[in-house]
Amino acid sequence: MIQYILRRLLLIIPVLLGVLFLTFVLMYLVPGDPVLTMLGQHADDDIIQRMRTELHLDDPWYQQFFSYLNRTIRGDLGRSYISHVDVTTALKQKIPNTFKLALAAIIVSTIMGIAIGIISAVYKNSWLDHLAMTVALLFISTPVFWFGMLLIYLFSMTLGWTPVSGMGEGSFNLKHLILPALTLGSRFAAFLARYTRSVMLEVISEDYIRTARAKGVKESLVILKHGLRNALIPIVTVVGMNFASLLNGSVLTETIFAWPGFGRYLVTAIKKRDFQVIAGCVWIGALIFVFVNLIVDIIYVMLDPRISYD
Amino acid sequence: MLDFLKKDKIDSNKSSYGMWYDTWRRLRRNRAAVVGLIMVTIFLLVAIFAPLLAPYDPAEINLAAILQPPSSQYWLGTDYYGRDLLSRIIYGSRISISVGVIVQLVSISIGTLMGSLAGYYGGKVDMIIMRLVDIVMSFPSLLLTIAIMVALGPGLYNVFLALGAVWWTKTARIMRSEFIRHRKKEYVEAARALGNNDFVIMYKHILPNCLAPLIITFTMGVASAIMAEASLSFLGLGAQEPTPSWGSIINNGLQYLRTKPWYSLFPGLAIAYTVLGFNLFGDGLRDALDPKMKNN
Repeated sequence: MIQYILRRLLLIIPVLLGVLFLTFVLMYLVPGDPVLTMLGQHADDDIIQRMRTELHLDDPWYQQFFSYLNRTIRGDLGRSYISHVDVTTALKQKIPNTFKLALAAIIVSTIMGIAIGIISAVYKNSWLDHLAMTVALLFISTPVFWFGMLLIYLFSMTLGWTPVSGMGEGSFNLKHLILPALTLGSRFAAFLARYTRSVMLEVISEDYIRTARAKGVKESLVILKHGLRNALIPIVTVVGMNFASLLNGSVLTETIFAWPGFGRYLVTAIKKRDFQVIAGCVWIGALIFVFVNLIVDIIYVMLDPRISYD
Repeated sequence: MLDFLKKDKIDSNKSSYGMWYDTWRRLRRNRAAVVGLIMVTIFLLVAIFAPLLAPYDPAEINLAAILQPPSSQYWLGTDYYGRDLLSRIIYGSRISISVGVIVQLVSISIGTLMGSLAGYYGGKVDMIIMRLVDIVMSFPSLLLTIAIMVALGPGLYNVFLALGAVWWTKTARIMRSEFIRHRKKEYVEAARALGNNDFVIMYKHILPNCLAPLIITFTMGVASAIMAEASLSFLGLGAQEPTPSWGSIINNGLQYLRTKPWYSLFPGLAIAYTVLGFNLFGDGLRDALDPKMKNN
């Protein structure tokens, strides 16, 4: 097992180097001069030149890449061109907020998704099943940002139950958290409902379920203890794999709800063309994505002894 | 003797369109897929006949009718330039379908080329291509698309490139496994024995046998591309003014959400309708093309 984890970690190194290289190339290709972004169009030529030398912008591209690599590995993501705030420090503040939102979203969507999926599977082909699956597909087809706006309009602006935006005071403010979490989790809940239904249908057609029923076990026990327990491994994997993907949705959700996290930080940087921040966000986003997926893979192997790690 | 030949010919004809006929038969029996097909057809008709259907020019600015609510004159209201929202949404369907189709053509072409090379040749070629796939897939897809859009600059053509450059990996993985499955088959050996070169074997003999997964990827991908373009335009990175992209109309409406909720409501409904249509149809098509995949 430890060998498996070590090998996976070693395999990640070339991939992460590739990710860094790609991020560097993209930011290198960006049109316009970063120094002009920092100093403005009317800056003095001498100062511009001094700044260019300081930032090594006149070096050949490969030297720039190696110095970028060197800095990034040491955790230095540079300074914002506009606010001059250290990107690493800013991200350290923002990422826990995104993590909080993602965790709330995954909890809400997992509970809803699994519950709806089980009900659909148990009442297969009934009107309830058809309704649940149609609604699920409708949610999968709805843009996250638009759904968030509908929720804001209904619950914040019309009914006045929740605040329109922000994170509120304190570390945990349910009123502020509920709408963004529902928005971010909506598509995943729908996807999970469909997935749980298909896994449960497979499981409840197995022989051991028939045996349990033949023994006279109560139906609710058959479904929850015998059925769900065996369906849980693939479901847990899908939940884990999607936790990292919530970073995608967080960019849109945080924009709508002015949630002070990673996604909003990135979108604000895009609007201001603050490339140092964009590069830092893209790199950290990929890093989180890779490591969360690795952890999920390892948990998966630990949970299911049938999967070999050779 | 002639009768015998004739009969043989008819039979071989029948089997040559058998797969498509069977697919159509299975598709027709799936009520959800038929609903999806009807929805997609209506969407395509709206896109094709946009100039006939739209009551106004979608770019016509009318400062006397700014932010009008839905009325008999402007069925879905007007935007902050006084442009008719119904006309903009109708023309927006053209943007959506072009994004859906072109992004899929770009990503499927790159993916098929890369996947077929990796699967057919194996070894070092496979290793290099699959590491590239790993790198691209190490990014959350929207984040990488955003990074590419920032590098290329906003605009619809760059959306085609950026989404194509991010999404080819999925097709590459599918085609790689298809080519690995097929490359040792007898018909491929036979084609090689007849002296065909690799190019002919790959794209004339193997590729036509991998069409089903490609068609499924294409149909489902159109829905995802429409959604992704809407998201990029919502962030201000996609189509620029005055192009009537659904995502950017929603974005413009965001600041009027409290007082003019209909502004963003209708373009959102248009996206949901279109994506739902493609998803229903794609689901049904997948089940019909490959009944073994059903429910997975």
